[in-house]
Amino acid sequence: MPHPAPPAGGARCRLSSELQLPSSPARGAAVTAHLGTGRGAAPAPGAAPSQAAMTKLAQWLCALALLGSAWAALALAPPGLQPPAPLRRALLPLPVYLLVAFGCYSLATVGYRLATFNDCEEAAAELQEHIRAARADLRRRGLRLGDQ
Amino acid sequence: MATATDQLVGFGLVAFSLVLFVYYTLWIIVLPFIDSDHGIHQYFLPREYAVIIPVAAGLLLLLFIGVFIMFVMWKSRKHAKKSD
Amino acid sequence: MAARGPGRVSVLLPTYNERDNLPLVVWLLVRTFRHSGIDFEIIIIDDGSPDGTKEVAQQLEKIYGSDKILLRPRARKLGLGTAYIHGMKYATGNFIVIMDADLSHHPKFIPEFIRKQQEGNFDIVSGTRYKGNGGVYGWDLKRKLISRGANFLTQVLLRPGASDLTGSFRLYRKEVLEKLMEKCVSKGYVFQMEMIVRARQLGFTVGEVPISFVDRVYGESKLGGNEIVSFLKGLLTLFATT
Repeated sequence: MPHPAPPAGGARCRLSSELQLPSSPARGAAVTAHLGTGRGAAPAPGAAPSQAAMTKLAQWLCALALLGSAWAALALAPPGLQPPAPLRRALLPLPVYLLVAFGCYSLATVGYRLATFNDCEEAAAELQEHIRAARADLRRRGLRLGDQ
Repeated sequence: MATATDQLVGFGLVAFSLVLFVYYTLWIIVLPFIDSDHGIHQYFLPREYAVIIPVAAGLLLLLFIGVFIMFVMWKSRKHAKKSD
Repeated sequence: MAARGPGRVSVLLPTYNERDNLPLVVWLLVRTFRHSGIDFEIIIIDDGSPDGTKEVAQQLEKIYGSDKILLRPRARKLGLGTAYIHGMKYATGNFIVIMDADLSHHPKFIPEFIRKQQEGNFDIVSGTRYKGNGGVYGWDLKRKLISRGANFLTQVLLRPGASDLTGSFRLYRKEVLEKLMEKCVSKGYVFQMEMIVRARQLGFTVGEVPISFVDRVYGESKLGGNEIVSFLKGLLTLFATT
């Protein structure tokens, strides 16, 4: 069965020509040889680098408390310790600003990821080919496929 | 490659957020440092709106999410009761 | 059961009504493993499918041998997590691959998972649709948007160090999977998320390989309001408890 040439612009999604070739012993041996020796330094849970014992929620609350108190200190400072007027005007709405900025960042990130979400047409076509080959071979080997 | 529509919508979102971000940054951060008789101030609403609009939008969003969740849960409960 | 020889890969295939796809997946798996020279076994866990999946599996067992195709069925549909636990009991490999039996995951990536595992001595190798030249076929705009949005939310809240948390095409070291199954309690999408999150908690390392996901279940709404709400619930639970 002739294998279709990979698209000129380089495969967009993962394709493989491996299934069409007879098994290559050298490559196969190399992979098997490695499988067993992969253990190396197995991470024992006790010796593993300690993960933060805090839950993500707790981390967030801590960070918010920190930032919140810094902002409050500057915003609600007594007249003697206040930063200069324009700076103060910029500082006061900062929490709302950060939320909006984060919202913009989220929208942009999701939009960008949506725009670059690969569509694997070649992979789907390749799968159809493999399905045909599989059905033919299985029929030869005596599998009774109900319909199709 | 994503399809054309996906790219359009996706990059459209990017452009929109960029514009929004720039406008809002100018409004909140930059404008206080510019003299109040400069022409640029006419392009921006009074400062109170810089807080009111996002807060209102945020509350609306939360409301919408809440209604969506309640609706889905109500529908699943109704479906469960029907199938009993 | 003691592992027989180094470097065997056990593939767990939970099935429910996969009469048409199962033989194709098994054929592709056998081809892939034989071509790459990796020792393997395929464990099929059928949950009493009414469409005759078990009978097809029995035919496959005759064709390929009962040392390569292990049938370990169950009486009723009991869920994915328990299917893995059940299947693992009979697995004799050092590595366990979990994947979908509906051809959305292509076995050709498994040798790449193994290569990646060797590279970095990873405890888990996860197939990702979101990085590199990974991708999806058969999703419309709405589906992609929801997928990316949900993934973004997960990244922000959980910072998991893996780009595709809801993917179910993964390679695990056997001991790692056993340990994780003890700890994970969620269902559905959230189950796959919880595995990675708990793995990171326990200090396990996760490598990634871009894969293509071919969704052939057209017209069937796999992503309704219910899925979204239970995903959010699960996400918030993980956020608050890990």
